[in-house]
Amino acid sequence: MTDEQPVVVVIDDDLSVREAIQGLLETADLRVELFASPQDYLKSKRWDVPGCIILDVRLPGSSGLDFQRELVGTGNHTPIIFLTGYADTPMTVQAMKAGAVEFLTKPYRDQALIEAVLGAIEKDRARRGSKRALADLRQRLDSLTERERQVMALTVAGQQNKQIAGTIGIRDVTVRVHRRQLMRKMGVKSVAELVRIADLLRSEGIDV
Amino acid sequence: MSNQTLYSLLATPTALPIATIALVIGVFILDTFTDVEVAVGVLYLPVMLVAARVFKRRGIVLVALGCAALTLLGHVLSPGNSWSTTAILDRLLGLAALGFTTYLVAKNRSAEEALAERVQLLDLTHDSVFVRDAKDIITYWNRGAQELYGWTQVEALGKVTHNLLHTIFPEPLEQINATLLRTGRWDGELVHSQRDGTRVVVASRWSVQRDQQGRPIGTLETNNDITERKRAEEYLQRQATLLDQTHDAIIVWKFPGAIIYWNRGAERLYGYTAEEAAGRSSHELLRTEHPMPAELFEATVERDETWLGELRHTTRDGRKLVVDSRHVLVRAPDGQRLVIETNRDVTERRRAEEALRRSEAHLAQAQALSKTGSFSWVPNAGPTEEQLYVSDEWFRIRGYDRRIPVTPKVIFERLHPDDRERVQEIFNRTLAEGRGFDIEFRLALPDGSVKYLHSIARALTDANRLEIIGAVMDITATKRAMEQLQHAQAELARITRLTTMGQLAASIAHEINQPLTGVVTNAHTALHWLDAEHLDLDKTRTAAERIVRDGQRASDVIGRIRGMMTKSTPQVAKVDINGAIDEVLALTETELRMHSVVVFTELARALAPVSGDRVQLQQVILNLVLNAIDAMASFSDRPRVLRIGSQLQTDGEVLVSVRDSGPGLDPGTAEKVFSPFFTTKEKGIGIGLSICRSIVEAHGGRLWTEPGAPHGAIFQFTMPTEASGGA
Repeated sequence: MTDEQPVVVVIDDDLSVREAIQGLLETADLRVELFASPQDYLKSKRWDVPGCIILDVRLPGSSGLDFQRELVGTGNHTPIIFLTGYADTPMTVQAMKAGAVEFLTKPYRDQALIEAVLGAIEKDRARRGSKRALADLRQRLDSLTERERQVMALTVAGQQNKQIAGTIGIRDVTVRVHRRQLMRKMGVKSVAELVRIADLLRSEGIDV
Repeated sequence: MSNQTLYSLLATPTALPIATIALVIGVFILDTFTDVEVAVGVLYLPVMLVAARVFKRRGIVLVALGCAALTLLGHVLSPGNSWSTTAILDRLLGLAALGFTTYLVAKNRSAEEALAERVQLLDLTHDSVFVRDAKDIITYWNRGAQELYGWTQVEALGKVTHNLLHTIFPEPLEQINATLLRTGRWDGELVHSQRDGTRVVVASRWSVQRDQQGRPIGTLETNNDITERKRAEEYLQRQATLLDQTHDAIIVWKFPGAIIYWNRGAERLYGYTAEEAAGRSSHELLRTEHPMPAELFEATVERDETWLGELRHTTRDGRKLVVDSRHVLVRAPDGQRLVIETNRDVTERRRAEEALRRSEAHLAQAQALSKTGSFSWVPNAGPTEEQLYVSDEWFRIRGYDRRIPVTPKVIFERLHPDDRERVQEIFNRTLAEGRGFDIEFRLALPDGSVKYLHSIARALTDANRLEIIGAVMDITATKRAMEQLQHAQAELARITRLTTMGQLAASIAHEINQPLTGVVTNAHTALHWLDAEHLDLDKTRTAAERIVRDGQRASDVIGRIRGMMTKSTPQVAKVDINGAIDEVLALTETELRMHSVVVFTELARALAPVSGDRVQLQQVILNLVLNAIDAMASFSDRPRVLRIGSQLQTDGEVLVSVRDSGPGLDPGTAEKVFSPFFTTKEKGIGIGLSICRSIVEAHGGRLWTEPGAPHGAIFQFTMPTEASGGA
């Protein structure tokens, strides 16, 4: 998993800037893909590897912020490092809110860019990891039977076995079997762990 | 009385008494010594008749007694039968006839004498008096008549008056006689001829003399020579007529007092008739405004007997007049002092003079205010004509004292040395060709200042006489103002340019930042590959080459910007319009890209250069391009297209057009966009197009807008080239 070669995407209409960034990032042994416009990038294939996008705020046709929104809309959560000619606080705030990882003013320090890129890649790697974990949890959740999900929901809600049994209308001992079963399926050792996973899933919009 | 009688007797012809005596003697001899049986004594009757003509009554009686005595004596002495009855009867008859005749003659004579006595008195007068009988035969002729007509009494008596005097009657003689007989008198003027043929005019008074039966027996005619008076009257009449003819008002008044003469001119001038004026005081009638108190005025007239000057009078209808007046005090023959006042209306002249004076003053004022002098120049002026005339302002402009004489030296002396030759040449040509001129030149004044003058002259040619009339205007202030205006305009243009460039600031910053970013990044990259740890010269070189390229690019951008931002003084040079367009497009490349504007250029090849200030022309193009970008910013549903073109017009001018695909201009605002401070933009101050237009017009071109098809607006301007005669 960690040996995946990350890809840094540079979208800038200015050749000088594109080439310069490519040259710099290559010194950090990074793979760099250059695009003159967001459209070119969207038309290209997707790399299912960790990475980041370096984007000029000022882009022909649409602003970098619009493009950022567009990517998020399509489920692309690749971290974005914005480059800008000038520091504009409202613009920075908006970009950061929308999930930008960095906002660099041209001309940037080389180290700042490299660090930002590496940081973004790590973040992406982590994001990708948690995304995968979540997908695993989801899968586990989906493997639960109807009764097991019922018991899980009530357990997470803080009910004791007896109470659950009362609520559902089954025997106490049956509840205990279901619980042992679902905890095995969800890969947790304790109720506390189950509650945490449930919260995580809920935070991802998954109905537990 | 006796003297008078004597004179009367002496005046009678002396021949008649002698003839009478001879006749008496003859008759007596015949009567006494012949024995003619006829009544010779009857022959004494003619004696009586003759005597009646010669003698007076007493003389006639004496002659009659003598004749009677001689008759009786003749009877006694006569031989024969003198005592016969016949003879005695004859004598008695003769005596009776004598006596009767004597009675009649004497009676007649006494009537005549009475007349003559009255007539004699008339000799005393200077008037000419004569008497003529019913047949117009002169029977009396006084001394006055003799003096007047030159005929002596002797010559005149017995002549028919009208033949003698060649009388010219004022009316037919029959008519005069009729009047005379009816009234007994006639008065009139006659023209008589003197002995030497000279005509005299007489005032004639006729009165009829009648006998006791009242029958007319003669006419007493009294004539006064009025030729002189008549002449004087005619003269006066003529004079008066002449006086009436003149326009001057002539008034004669008794000093001090009433008007006695008032000519037609006075009637015309003042509106009062002679009748109305007569007897009035001239001063009161005319409400004379004297230049001094009226009493003093009269005293002056009295002392100097003459006065000349201007008076103010009021006419009958209330108009005020200014008259040029002359008062002369004269003494009439009767001792009366008269003032002859002659007045000439000078109101109009004064008014005209005043108007002229005012007009001249106005002209001088106008010349002074407008700093315009005038001159006239007659190159071939005659001796009586001034060759050169220049107005006061002309002198003032040149800084000369008005009193110095105008000479060619004065004209050329203060010309700016650089202009002298040119002006001299134009003057020479004017002289040679008789044409006007229109020149601008400078003066270099002694205080070191320079004046700009504009002189326009027209040539007036009239039968070999050339006159050049012109004006010279001091346009220094205008010139200075124009320079200042031009400077201000250039400065304004520069500021607008800076403002426009300000709009581009973000683009420009970006454009400089991009290569700078490249430079810095590539430098780091190069440094990295130079590290001994991972030395890679190829990669270092690549980075270094990129540094060079990007550095150059930044420099180019800055160069373009600096060109647009620095100088303010326009520098006129030949400008390649296509090159200027390209540069503007380079400057706005980022801006255009950021706004997704697609640019199409349609530039005519081999275009003649235009003459102008490159920066200002680029400013115009830049402004139009930026406006086009702004115009297209509001929509995104169709392509944003900017077409910029240059083309050669048929008249040799270059046309530059910038068209956009925006919504176009509202027809109502199409022309307003060129007004200062008109803007459709939120942040604009609305000065860009106004400045653009003034720049284009200062270059001799035009800037206007037209609607584009199917949408958008076209802004285009023309620039003159050498081919169009403008550059």
